[in-house]
Amino acid sequence: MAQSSKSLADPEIASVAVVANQIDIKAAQLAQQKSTDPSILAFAKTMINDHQSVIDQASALVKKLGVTPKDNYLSKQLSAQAEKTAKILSSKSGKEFDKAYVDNEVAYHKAVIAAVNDKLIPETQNKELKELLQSVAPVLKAHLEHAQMVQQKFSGK
Amino acid sequence: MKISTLSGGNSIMMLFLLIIISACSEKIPYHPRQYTVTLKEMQFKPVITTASEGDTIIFINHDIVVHNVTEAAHREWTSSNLPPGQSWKFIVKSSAEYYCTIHPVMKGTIVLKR
Repeated sequence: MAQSSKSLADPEIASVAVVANQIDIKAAQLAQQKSTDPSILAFAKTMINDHQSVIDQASALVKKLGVTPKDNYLSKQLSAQAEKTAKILSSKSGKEFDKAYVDNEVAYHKAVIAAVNDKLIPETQNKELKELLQSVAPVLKAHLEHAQMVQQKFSGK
Repeated sequence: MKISTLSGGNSIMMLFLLIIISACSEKIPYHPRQYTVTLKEMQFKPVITTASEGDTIIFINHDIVVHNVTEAAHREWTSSNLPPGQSWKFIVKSSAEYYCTIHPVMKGTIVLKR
């Protein structure tokens, strides 16, 4: 995820947070349709539940703060990249899909962790939104480690 | 009845020893202790809990996602899923390694005091 020096306002940061979580839920739903591997299915289920939980909390917070998430270059960039990835993943099946899915999850979580830590958290003005992003960061880190654990199973296949 | 001073002293000493031995052999009642493990930032904190049999560990989920606490080797016991803010009380019976089945990178240990 290429990061720009252009700063984001809180409504834009809220939009990025929601979009980034939605993207991973969609990828996991695709995995549930295409995979039969128990470790992939368990990982996908965790991604759906955890990212939905983050979306729910972000939605509740923006509602409380009276903020309307606003589309921006970063949320658009994320969506465009996710569309390309979904096409590639959809074209694969079996073990080839499993490997591509988990490889993408590792890369995606690395990119999102960098964006959250280096851009979104430092640029957030509202204290509660900043705290929410700070509490999401360890969740993303655990997802990355989980994905890397699953990835080992498919390495060399 | 003839009791020499020496044998009288011995009797008193024996009695004294018996009282001491009996007092020592009586089981001192153990008052179970309570420990708290928080599930925060996708970790069990503390990772290692040293406790005695009968002690209680309260696991509290302070994270923003659902977790569980499950015995690692054979899934002999589990808290079932704990949504954010919920807690679970566990009475220690033996040493154990445990983890969260949803997030297998989260691991913890109970060490039984000997």
